[in-house]
Amino acid sequence: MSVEQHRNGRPALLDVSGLVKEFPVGRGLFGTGGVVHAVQGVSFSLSAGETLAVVGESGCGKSTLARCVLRLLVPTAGTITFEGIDITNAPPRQLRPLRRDAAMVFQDPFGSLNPRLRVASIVGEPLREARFGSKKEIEARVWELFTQVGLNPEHFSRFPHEFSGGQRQRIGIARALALHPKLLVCDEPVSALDVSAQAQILNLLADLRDQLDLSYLFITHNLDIVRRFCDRVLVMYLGRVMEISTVAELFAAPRHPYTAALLAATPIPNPRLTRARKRAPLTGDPASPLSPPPGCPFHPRCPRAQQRCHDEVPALTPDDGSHRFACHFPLEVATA
Amino acid sequence: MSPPLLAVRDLSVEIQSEDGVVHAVDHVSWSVNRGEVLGIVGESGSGKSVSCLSLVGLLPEKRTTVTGSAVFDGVDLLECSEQQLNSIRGRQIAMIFQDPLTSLHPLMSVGAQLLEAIKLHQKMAKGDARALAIEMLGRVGIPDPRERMKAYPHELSGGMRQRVMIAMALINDPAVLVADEATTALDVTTQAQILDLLRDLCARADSAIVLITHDLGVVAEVCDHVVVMYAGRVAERGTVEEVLERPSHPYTWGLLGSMPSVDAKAARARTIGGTPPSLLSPPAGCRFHPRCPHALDVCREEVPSLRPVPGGAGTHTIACHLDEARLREGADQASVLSTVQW
Amino acid sequence: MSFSGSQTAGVADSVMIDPTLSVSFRARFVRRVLADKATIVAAVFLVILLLLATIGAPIVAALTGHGSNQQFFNGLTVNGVPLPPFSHEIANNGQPNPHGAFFILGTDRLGRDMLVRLLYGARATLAVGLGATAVALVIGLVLGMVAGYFGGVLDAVISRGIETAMAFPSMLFAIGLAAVLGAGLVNSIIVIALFSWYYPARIVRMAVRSLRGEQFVEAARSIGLGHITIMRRHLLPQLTAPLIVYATGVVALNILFEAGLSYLGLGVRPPTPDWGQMIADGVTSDLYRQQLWVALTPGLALVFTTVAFNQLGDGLRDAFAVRGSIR
Repeated sequence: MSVEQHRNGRPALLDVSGLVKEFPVGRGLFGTGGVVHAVQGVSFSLSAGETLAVVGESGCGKSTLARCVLRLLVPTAGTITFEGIDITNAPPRQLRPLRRDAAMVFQDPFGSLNPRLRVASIVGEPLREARFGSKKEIEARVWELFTQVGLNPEHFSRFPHEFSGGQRQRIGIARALALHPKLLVCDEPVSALDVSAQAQILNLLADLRDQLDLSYLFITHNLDIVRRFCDRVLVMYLGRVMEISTVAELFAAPRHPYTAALLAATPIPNPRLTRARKRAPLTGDPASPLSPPPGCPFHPRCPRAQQRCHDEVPALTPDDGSHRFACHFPLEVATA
Repeated sequence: MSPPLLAVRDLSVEIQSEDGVVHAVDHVSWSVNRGEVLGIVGESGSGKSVSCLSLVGLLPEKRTTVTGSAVFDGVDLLECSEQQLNSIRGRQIAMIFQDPLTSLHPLMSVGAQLLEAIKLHQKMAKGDARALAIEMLGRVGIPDPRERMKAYPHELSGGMRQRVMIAMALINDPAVLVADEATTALDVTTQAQILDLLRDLCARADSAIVLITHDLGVVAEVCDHVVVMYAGRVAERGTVEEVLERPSHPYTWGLLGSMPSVDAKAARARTIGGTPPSLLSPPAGCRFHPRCPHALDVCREEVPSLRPVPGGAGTHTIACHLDEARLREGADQASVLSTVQW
Repeated sequence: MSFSGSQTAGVADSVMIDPTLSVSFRARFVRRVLADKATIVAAVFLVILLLLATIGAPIVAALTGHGSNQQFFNGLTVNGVPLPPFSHEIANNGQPNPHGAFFILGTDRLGRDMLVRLLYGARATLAVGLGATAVALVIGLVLGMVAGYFGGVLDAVISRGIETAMAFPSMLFAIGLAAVLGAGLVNSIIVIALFSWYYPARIVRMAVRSLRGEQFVEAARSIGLGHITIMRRHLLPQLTAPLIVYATGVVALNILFEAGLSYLGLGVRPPTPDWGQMIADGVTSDLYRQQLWVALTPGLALVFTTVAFNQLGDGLRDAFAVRGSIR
């Protein structure tokens, strides 16, 4: 049971506890397949109106986590509670509130829209599926959504390929907003865009958050975006939570060595600052989720690792509080 | 001052596509010396990759028109025959690309590909070549190099594959290494390792690196000089300190302003409105003018040529019509960095 | 003028559409096809063939006054050899009679007008060829879609089914089956469809497998769409292009298959004309040695038709192809 303190005092919208997701790979009539341990025991909660970032590099399981939350995948173990309803193993009929109140914004502006459908049809699809209303009502809502995300509604009978990457991402956001959701799960929504388009879309998401009182579960690998855009952040590595904290605390004083390494490796466009940074890049490559290391998954690359890290999986400490980390030998809080 | 190792002058590339002529690169000039790292920065469609591919003749010949000059070690690459280019490619000018999975041959072992690279350009006994290959793998940071020689690309991680690419590129001791978005697909911690490796290896060999990227942070980390490209033209050029600490082109201001880490306190990013232009029918005059908040009438009509930044060293140039006063005003408004000095 | 672009969601930011991106699929498709002469020739040929088979045959029969099964005693030489193209019927003196019947494509073994028979024969050929392909497409589409979309056990079962069916020598089995079911148009269609459904099934399965992982399919699922709806609305439209291309190749194959069946006497029942049968007529008792055209005429018709379908398929494939990158 996670006992996160809710910074903004509002009720928890989403509660994830002990989530595990494994994928069998390699067919084998004789059971020779391996198992991808994509997510290995993740717990957190998200309040209404909050933006939680899930940060990590490839293979850390953040995308899998996002898909479990929206029940695009069925968890292997653990529970997911949305708006008080346990959706972990619920049958499709009971997922209707989830489908209405939570939606996903996908990473690929070119792949997340069906190239054969007109964009009005794409944005209106959730409305038709939920039997929102008459054709006219749906059309009016689509028009409204287009305006809300900054697109020209007169273009709504065009096809996706006629729009630029940033515009297509706006279409995807419009689709996600169709049924007035409370939660948007954004899976790397700006990674595939140019820098200038990224800024536009992030601004849009910030505006929408204010206008519509949205919560975001924001998956990204870009710490810069986290700092600007998010309230809290969860750092994942090979399926486990390394650190979870408010953004301010994480950037000011990371406790987990992996978080520190991530911060140190993120380039800053200021030559003097960046070259003055003390750099000790991590050695080696991350292990594969097919065979995660025993104990703390980060220990093979960690400069502070000791025997205990190999023997024992560190638990998230302290038990509650706004800044928790899973490390036997965390970094000390630097004196300012 | 010795002549630059590679000097590109007035390079223009036009590509015939199904829908018309794409004016991918328009009168681009830059140069790089031995031991230096040059960054070419731009978003997609800026022409940064196309310009470098055209240098070594890697664009489809029939549909491409390349004009200008690219003098490498006294020889104009654009005038070279295919044979001459073959001996230069891979030997004196090496390239590495973004996705090592598709750049490496999937059915040949890593060792075989390295040996092939050696054999193409150097005469060496087989035993010596193997030894060199193993040594190179070790130098790029691959553990157990002797064992890894037998590995196939799909068995290695993304970071490992990129290291193999670097080994292949550097094994013939090239004078210039062109890295086209070589770290874009890598995790940020792996990227840090690869960038350090590149810089280190090239410093030792005194070769030059041309680093093509869209990430100004990467440029700040590794580069000595930087060229900012927009829609096929050079917008700003100079040393990395000059361009990133005293950015002087409205596009560069926009790029830096869009980047979150620059000003952590701002809740909203400053954006460049609109979208990049089509290169099939680019705007007249300055190609940035439709999106430039400071655009003047002259910007719509006349192509700005590169001129030195007022008050700066001669090496810092911009292609912009704004006069000094308006530049100063614009820089203030953008207030991109607290260290902007005007 | 402030730099930041807009403080609101920014209608100004994203209103513009790049006109060069707006070239629709259809326009590009038409442009490519029109530039491809070989494909245009093939397409025109097939259209003409279709017209001839449907309305042309009775018109030609009326114009020449020759029925498709009408035997002309004077359509053979005195030795009983059929006439070559552009011949008049033979008079009693053994010489061509310039005022008698004129056979544009000559006659067959029984003195019947080749041209009229050819045109009526086109009906059987096209009906079975296109009909069998249509049935095969439907079967293949359904099975391929199910296999590709659901994966797992369903896919395993269907794939094994495909591989098993492909392993059988189709002609031999078709012969056996036709012998059991009997000859005839509908039976031919059934038999041929049973031995060609696996071609589209494999294509569809592969295509659906790769499409299944696309994010727009994930998006559809995240909205809560059911599997059938996703298959119908999101996957099926993506399959039309490769299916059309593939179908043309399958039609060509099935036409040959049909000709083979009728050659063996297992296709359309005589005396209904059929190209395969006509070739058989020309070959039995070595008749072609005496009059080559009896076998050559239907044979050439078959060749041209098959080539035309294949060329059409090639041209369509190129026209549908996604534009490559500049590099």
